[in-house]
This record gives sequence, C-alpha cells and structure tokens, in this order.
Amino acid sequence: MSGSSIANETIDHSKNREPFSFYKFITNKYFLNVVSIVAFLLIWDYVAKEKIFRDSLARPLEVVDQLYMLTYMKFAGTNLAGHIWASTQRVLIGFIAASIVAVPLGLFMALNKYVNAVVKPLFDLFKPMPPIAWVSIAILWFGIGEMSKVFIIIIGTFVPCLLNAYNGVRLVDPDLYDVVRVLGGNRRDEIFHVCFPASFPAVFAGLQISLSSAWTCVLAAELMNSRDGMGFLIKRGMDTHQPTLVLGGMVLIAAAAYGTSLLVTLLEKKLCPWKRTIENL
Amino acid sequence: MDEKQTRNKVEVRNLTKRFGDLTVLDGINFNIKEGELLAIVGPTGCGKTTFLNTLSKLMPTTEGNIYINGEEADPKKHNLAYVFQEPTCLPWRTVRENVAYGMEVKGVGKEEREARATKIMDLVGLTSCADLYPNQVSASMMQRIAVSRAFAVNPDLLLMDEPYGQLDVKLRFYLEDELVNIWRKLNSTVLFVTHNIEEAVYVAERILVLTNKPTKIKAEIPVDLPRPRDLLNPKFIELRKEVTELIRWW
Amino acid sequence: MAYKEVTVKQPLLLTVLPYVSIAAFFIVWEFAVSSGVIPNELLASPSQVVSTFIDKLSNPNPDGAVMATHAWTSVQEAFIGYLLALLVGIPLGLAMGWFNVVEGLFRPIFELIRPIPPIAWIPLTVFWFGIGLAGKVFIIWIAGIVPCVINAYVGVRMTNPTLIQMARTYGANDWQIFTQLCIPSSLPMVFGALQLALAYCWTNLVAAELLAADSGLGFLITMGGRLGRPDIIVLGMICVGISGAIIGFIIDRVEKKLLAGIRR
Repeated sequence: MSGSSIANETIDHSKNREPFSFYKFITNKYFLNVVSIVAFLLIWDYVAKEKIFRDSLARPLEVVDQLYMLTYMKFAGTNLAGHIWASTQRVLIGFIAASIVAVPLGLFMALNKYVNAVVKPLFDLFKPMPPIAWVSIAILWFGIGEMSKVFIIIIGTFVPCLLNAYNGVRLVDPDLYDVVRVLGGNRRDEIFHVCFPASFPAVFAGLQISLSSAWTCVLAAELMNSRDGMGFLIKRGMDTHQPTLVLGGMVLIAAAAYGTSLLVTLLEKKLCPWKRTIENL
Repeated sequence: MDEKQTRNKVEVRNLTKRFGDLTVLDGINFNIKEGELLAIVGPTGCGKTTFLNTLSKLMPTTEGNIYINGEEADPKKHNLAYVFQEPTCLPWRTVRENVAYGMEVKGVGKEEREARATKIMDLVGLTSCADLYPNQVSASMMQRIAVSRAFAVNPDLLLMDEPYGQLDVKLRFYLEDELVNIWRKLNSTVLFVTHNIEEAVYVAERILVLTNKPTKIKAEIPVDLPRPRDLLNPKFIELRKEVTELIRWW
Repeated sequence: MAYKEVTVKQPLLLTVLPYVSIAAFFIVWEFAVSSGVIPNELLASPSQVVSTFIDKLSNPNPDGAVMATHAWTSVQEAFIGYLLALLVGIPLGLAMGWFNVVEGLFRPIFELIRPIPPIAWIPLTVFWFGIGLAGKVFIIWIAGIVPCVINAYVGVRMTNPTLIQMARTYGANDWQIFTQLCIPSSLPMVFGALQLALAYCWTNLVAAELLAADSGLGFLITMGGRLGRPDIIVLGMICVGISGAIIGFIIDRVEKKLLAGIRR
C-alpha cells in the first residue's frame, strides 16, 4: 500500500463506508417481497371481511381452517390426502402415457422426412383444438369414469411434448453434426451423440408445458364430472356456494402444479447439468 | 507544446478497488493531459476491465476518485464515452441514429446532432451506409460506429477497451490510423486500453504499463515518435521491446 | 449483399404424402362411421358434420342460437380478455424486468397466482360476476396475462448488458435506458407473447363456456354433449380449432410485418 500512502492524507475514508440508508432499506428486494405478500394477504382479508363480494370470498385464515379440517374429516368419502392423490394419479397416468409416446414420436418425426410427411399434417389438424374442447366427446366415448379424464389429459399433454421434441431436434446447431462427421462418425453416432442430447432441454421445456396443461385438463375434467379430486372440491364448493372450499381447492391445485413442475426441473438438472441457464430470471 | 496541451484534463487519485478480500486495483495515480492519447497495457487478467469500469463510473470505487477538470467525474455531468470490446450498436437504429445516440442522451439539439453526426461519419467513411441497420454492415463497421458515436459527443474523456482486438491485422492498422486521425482533428482526450503492445506504441503519446493483480502502475513511457509512425523505424522497435520487457517482468 | 433463392428439389413422394395423409384420415373417418364400425351415437361422420354446419347457419335449434351468434360471442369474449391481458400484462412485465421496486412488489403475488390454472377461477368468477360477459372476460384475462408478463419480463432481462453500460457512460438515466434500450430489445419476446397469450385465451375461453354460458362455441360443444349429439360436438370442436388457427395466423403475419420494420 506504499503507493497510496500519499493520497490517503487527502481522501476522506469515512465517505466510502456505506452508511445505513433508509432508501436502500426500503428498496431492498427481500423487504419488498415481504411487503408485497403481507399487503396481498391483508387486502384479501379486508376485502373478504368487509364483504365487498358479499359472501363470495373467504378470509385467508378460514381457508386454512377449512383445509386443516379436511385433513382429518372425510369429505365425499375420502379426506384431503385422498382428493389430492386422486387428481395427482390422473395427471401422472395421463402425463406419463402421453410423454412416452409423444417424445419418441417427435424425435422420430424430426429425423425421418417420410414419417414427418405423414404425421405432421394430421398433427397440425388437431393442434389448434384446445384440449378442453374434447371434454364433451370424451364423456360421450368413455363415460364419466377415470378413462375419460385420463383421455383428456393425454390429449392436452401430447401436443406440447411432441412439438418440443420435434423442434428440439430440428434446431440443433448444424455445426455440432460436423464435429461428429469430421471424426468419422456415422448417422447413428450423429443421432445418439448429438441429436438426442442437444434436444434434451427442448424436450424438458415441452414436459414442463405439458405438465401445466395436464393440471388444467384434470381440473376441467373434474369440474365437469367427478366424485373425488381437487377439481371436485372446487366444483362442490361452487355448487354449495362455499368460497372456503373453492379457495382451498385453488390453493391445493396451485401447490400441486408447482410441486410437480419443481420435480421436472430437478430431473432436468440431474439429466442435463450442462444446460445453460439465463441468470436472474 | 502550448499551454492548453499541458493542462491536466483528468486526474486519477489513489484509485483502489477491492472485491471483498481481493484487491484488484491498488492505489493508482496518474494524470491525462488535455488532448492526450494515453495507452494502457498490462498482462492478461490484470484487471483492465475493472480499471475502465471504475474510471467510467460504471462501478463504484473502494477508495480514491477520478477528477475531470478538477471536479469529481460524473457521467451525468461530464462527457464520458466508452468504446467496448464487443460491438455495441443498437440493432433497431440505423447507422446514423446509432452515431447520434450518445448526443441524444446528452440532450444535444436535433440540428446540431445531425450536423455533428454527418461530419464524423464523413471522417470515418460511414456516409455510404448511414441509413443501413447494423446487421447489414460488417464487424469493422460496427466498431467504427461505436468510435464515431463516442467522438461525436466531444468527450471530456474517451475510454477505449481493446476496440480493435477482434479484427484482423490489416483492418486494425487501417482503423488505428483512422483513430489517430480523428483524435488529432478533434483534439479529444483518449485513454486506450489494449493488450497489443505494437498497437499501443503505434497510437499513443504515452504508455502506462500495469502490473499483475493487485494492479499498480509499473512504468510510464512517453512515446515521442513523429507521425505517421513507421513500424520498422529502429526507435519504434526499441520502444516496443522496452514495453514488452516490462510486461514480461511482472 | 444479395442472396440467391435456391429451391431444393424434393422427391415427389414427400410433396404428395401430406395430402394423402389428410385425405386418408377423412376417408377412414367417414367410412368408419357410415359403415357402423364406430356407432353413430359416439361419433359423427365428416359429411354429417358438414350438413349440421349448414343447418346450424340458419337454425337456432337445438341449442338456442345460430352459428354466427355462437362464433361472435366467443370472438368477442376472447378479444376483450386478450386485449386487457396485453394492456396490463406487457407493461407490468416490462416494468418488472427493469425496475427493482416493481419486481419486488409484484413478483411474489404473480408467482403465487401463476400456478393456479385459469379454469380454477371459474367458480369464484361465477360468484362474483355471474355467467355474463364480464366473468368470461375475467377468466380469459387471467389466462392471457401470465405469458404476457413472463415474456415481457424475460425480454427486458435479456437486454445486452454491454448496451446498458454503454448508455450509462453517456450519462443516460434509468428511464432513458428503459425506453430506449430495454423496450426495443424486448420486442421480439413481446411479440412471442402475443401468440402465446392468444393460444391460452382461446383454450380457456372454451373452458369458461363449458361451465357457464348461454351461447358461444364452447357452449355449443357442451350442449352437444348434453343432448348426445356427436355431430354438434365435433362441429363445435372444429370451429374452435379453425378460428383459433385463423387468428393465430393473422397475428403471425402482423408480427412478421412489424418485426421486419424494426429489425430488418
């Protein structure tokens, strides 16, 4: 520090110490987050307490109470865990069935021009039809049992799975193929060493979209007709005009959707740790 | 040299930057005279970018300060300009609008802006592509746009961070000549950071050699060769060797 | 620089296959239903759907409204909800991307609401707004706002940091950087949101109408289900699909036009 000793006499050191600043404190990210959540709950509570929506909004604590009550009390034959499992089970069956078929088909379509020429037009035909539009015909075909619900989930998850796998392969950087070719690799090496790994992130993005679509679909199916599941709780809450039940169902389904998407994210981190992530998103 | 030339335009006093325990810049002191082209060279990873970022006030300093005309430097008050290593053209503006961008931020009037942009673009030969978008011109053009934009604001201090590092040798010499040319015409104060010793000797009036981290100034070498400079002049080669030796001996 | 358009000749088979595939699909469908392999109570044949469509153009029975009314109701609801979602979502996302205070205040709430499927709002909406236009617009708005906020936010976040530094050294203030750098550079992402939001809106329109409505394409599908009329169900599905595709196509065109002007 010999070089700085001369100048040190003239520079006021205390100026560089970060003083406690009120402005800094109130613009701190975590502080703002807490403010935001607290304000949200308080406003919700106030709106509910003042009956601005008459009796159609429950207070946050009432919702918690209701959910807690359901954990030990049977409602329509099963308790809270049973309802959660009923929906989750449908989502998992539909989601797994669809992704097992759709992802390989998408990859295959991108690799084979002829398969693509046959399947793509049919697929484009069905693509713009919202999965929920299938609810009525699913009930007509499969009745109101499990099968029709799983069917709708499959319809809803198939499209994004396939589309992302397909685009994932088509958008692989062509230079990467050259790397394999220059080393004397054949078509098989290209596919297994470049194509599949490079398309993984896109496939996972498709799985994420599918999953959120699956929750929407299961909800739609259960709202139309069911005897258990989280959608059933919401529907029953609607029919009997119990906002606590409706909000409880919404909280549950949000948590479930969030949880499963977290699982897929973890799986992706495990399977392709090399994936570039954009920071601060 | 006249009186104006010898006045200190920029004074850097005890510039220190620490990231936690790591001292990157350690009490750097130097001056830049008005209208001087000062080159800074140093070994790889000596914190050149940190150095420039603190000088341009993008990053707060831990200790010390930068004074322009005797006042603390402030991008809102002083005309600072920074030419980055990578092209920084705004893709949604034409070349002319890009050149005028710096002046726009400074609040220069529209007519004045047009006039200065036209003048600068003439100097660097951008007139022919003034109405193209940046993705329609070549990489060297992009860097020229950035240089023109910087000179157009009549900067009190122009910082350049290896602006020609990514160009090939021939283009680089051409653009260096161009830089020297504009600089002499506009009499700006320029701080040119580079890792290319030949480049530094070619363009600069004076060279500061930096040490490895924690970075200090190791030596100061005035370059009083006549312009245009000749790369094969024995004096030039000697200077180049001198700087090279200094960098090798960290 | 001029690029020469090169047309690559592809085998005739590849050109023909897509048409063959579509034709085969409709022929198999028609044949399967008319021959009785698939019972007519479960699925209507393409020809039946077409004749129902022609009939529904003028005949309000059995669901209470003619085709044009259903289509107009749906388009109206979707469009209002979509526009409101853009108007609120894009500015909110842009501001969240750049201003820390806005992000700190709104992001937690957004993250709380985001995982709730828009359909889950239906009961509350019906309680609050009834089954009229407002309720459905609200659901569509909730559905559309999520992609708008996310894309605008990501678009701003992906602004090249060197450009921001460049502007700062020229002395630009936060607002100038936001309007002159962040917003233009986020435009491609924002346009992506237009497409995405539309798809979300259209999907959830059908959902909103399935549950509570008295006209609209989703309502047509529900009525078909209640009446056990597969031809009406299929007709409704096809109409929803085709109109969704048309609107998506228009937006795609508009986007290409506008972006061409911005980025060349």
